[in-house]
Amino acid sequence: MHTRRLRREVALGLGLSMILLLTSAVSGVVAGATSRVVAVLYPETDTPYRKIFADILSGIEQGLTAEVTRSYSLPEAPDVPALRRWLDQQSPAAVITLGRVPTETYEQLGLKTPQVIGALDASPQTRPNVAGVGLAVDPALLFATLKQLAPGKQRVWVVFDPTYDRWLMGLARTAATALDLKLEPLEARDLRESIQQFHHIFQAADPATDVIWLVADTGIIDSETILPAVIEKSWQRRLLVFSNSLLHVNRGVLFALYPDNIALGRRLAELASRASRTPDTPSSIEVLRAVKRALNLKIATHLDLDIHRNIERQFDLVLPVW
Amino acid sequence: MVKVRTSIQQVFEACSFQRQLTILSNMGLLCLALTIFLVSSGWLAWRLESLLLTLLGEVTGQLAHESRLVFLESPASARERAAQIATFPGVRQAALLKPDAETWVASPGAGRWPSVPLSSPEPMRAAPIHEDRDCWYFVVPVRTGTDDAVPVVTRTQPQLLGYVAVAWRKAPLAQLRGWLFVLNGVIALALALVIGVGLHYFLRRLTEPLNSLADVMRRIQHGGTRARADVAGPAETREIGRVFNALLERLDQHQAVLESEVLMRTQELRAARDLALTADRYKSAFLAAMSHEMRTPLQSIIGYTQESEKKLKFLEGDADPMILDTLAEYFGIVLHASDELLYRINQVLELAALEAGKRDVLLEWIELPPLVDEVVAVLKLLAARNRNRVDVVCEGVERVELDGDKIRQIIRNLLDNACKFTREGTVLLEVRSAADRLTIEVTDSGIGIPADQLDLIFEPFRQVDMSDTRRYGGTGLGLAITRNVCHLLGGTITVTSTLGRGSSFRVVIPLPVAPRFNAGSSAPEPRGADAR
Repeated sequence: MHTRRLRREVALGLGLSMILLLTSAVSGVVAGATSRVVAVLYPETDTPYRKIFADILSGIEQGLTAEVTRSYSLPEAPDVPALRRWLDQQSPAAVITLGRVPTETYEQLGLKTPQVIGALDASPQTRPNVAGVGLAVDPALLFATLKQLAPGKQRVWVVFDPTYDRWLMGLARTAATALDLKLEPLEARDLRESIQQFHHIFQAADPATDVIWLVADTGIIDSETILPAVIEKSWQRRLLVFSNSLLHVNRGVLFALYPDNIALGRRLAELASRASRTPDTPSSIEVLRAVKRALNLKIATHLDLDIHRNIERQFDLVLPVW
Repeated sequence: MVKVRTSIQQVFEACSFQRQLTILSNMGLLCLALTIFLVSSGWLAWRLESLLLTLLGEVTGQLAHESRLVFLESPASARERAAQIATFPGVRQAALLKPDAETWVASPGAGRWPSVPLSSPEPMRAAPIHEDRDCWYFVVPVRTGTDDAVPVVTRTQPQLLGYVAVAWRKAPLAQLRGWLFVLNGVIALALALVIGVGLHYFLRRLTEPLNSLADVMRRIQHGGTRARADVAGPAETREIGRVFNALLERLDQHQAVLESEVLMRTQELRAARDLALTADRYKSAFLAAMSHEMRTPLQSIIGYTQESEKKLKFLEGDADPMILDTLAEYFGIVLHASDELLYRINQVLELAALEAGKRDVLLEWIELPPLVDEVVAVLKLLAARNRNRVDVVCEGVERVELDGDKIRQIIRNLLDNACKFTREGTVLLEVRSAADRLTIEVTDSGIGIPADQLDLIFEPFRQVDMSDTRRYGGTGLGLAITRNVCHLLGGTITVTSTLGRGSSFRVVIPLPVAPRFNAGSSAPEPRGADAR
């Protein structure tokens, strides 16, 4: 009795095992036949950028569920032929380039493989028809945060380089209008013009209603000349300044929206996956929407802003850290 | 240079041991202090300048860093910034230069800036690009675009905004360096002084035992025989003191032994001297007695013989003439022999008197030629006996103040000696007188004297032929008496001779001769007077 039962159970186990093996083999063959390779080129960097790129890579891997991810790091002086050989070997369906060196190196190769740019101050004006996410934060998100913290502000002053960010100003104007804000964009092509424009802003702006938006363009707002001057003058005039650089918060702007690197990686994966599936679809550099928010309470206090605890809790980083 | 070195060496060697050590150690100390002072001051000054230049470079760099915004603003801001930099302590003037290195704005009073090497790599902070007597000129570029290193940024391009030029004064460094030199010098000198004083004290303690030892030696040198060295100080000095004391002990022992021996010898010598004096007295007494005892009977013999010879004449015609002739011959022989005997006794007495210093020098004015003729005439007989020819030369001053008997004695003895040892030859007497000397020279062609005997012939009782069978008679006292007489007159006698060819005696008496008297002495009796 027991023997017969045992034989039946063994036969049943073996049968189930065979079914499972066959199923997995069939699914593996199907997957191998349909999976595409997405190559990720990222720079060799030190802290703190290593952590940033690691997070982006992590996000990409999370986002690419149907594709196989292959990553390749490039030093400051990359071996281009070696990269070419590696790409030929991988035959990727799409290439995600993170940072300056990988993007420029890949562009030098002139390959037809769809490219997705990330972690770079890329602009659709200078890199048309290329998919990717730039460092420019979506103005709508910025203005929404502004309205949340200082609802009484009405006018947003911004200095921008028309060579790179005219497209961003279009988006900003739309977003401002939607939130009942008036955008005052001023053009500057270098640091000298930039400082002159900021002088103009400080003469014209009313601290009660006006704010300054610092775009992510080191060509006109560098961290060693313009930024300290703007921060100092704003502090003196009690003008609200916001930015899309986490470092700026630490140096004296009220708030900043900065990249959520894992989410950014997922977005890049999404773009890469789409580009690999439909390479001929028109694409463009888009604004950064995968962001986190940082707030400087010291500046808020200086500006006499009453920020509710509930609002404060919505920020990912609140400075100073007591 | 050599003279200076020699005199310095002499002065140094004349110093005491302690002073030499002090001089040497102080000089060494001074050299050491000077060397340390120069090396440390030089090194510190160099290091200070190097550090200051680095610091000035850094400060200039910082000023340039802080001036970046000004390059983006108006010239008025830039001018204000230049003036502001010029007020920085130690800055004489400042300027902001354009990217092409032309002066954009400058602080008031700023002169022309040194040209900037545009191709030089950044940063130009480590060293000034130019310096003159008063200032160092630092020129530091001002750039933007350091965000270029960020891996997510492409828009930033390095941009040269211009240069910040600062002229830093050298005066503060020169002042600091001066103070440093003075301070170093004072410290080095003070240290040298302190060490020198300590060294002097130490050297004094070190050399004090040596000085004490030298003092003991000096005392001993001046007769302090009981002085002893202190055994103190370093090991070597203590050892020297111990050895010196031991030597003194041994010296004292030796001296004691010597003194006892000297005392003994002195006593012996005194006894011998007393004995000799006694013997001399005995000799003198004996000779006096002999002269008296021998001359008295001899005088009687001579007198009675002479009387007998006279009486013999009264017998002429009474006695046999042959017997009378024989007696006369015998009396003649007796008289001759007695005369010879008396002469020799007189010679012995004369020598004894001369050696005893009992002869006077009685000066008188004498005529030399008669004196010489007189002596030569006496000795003609002796010369004729040996068939010798006597030649006489008498030259110079004729009248001199001398002791005439002594001159006669000298000439007689020399002529007697020459005639005795010359046969059938010539004897030359030369007497030459001058104001300051009298020279008497007797040269013969006789047998001569062997060279090894020349020093002996002036000794009493010595003749060249001392054998029992000697051919020539005489006592051998003539030359000894002559030499003594010469010495008495203050003169000298020398002899030259060739064996077989003759001899030459030369007497030199310096003039004038000092008179000499001996109380109680009696002049020797002339031979002739006594003999005849």
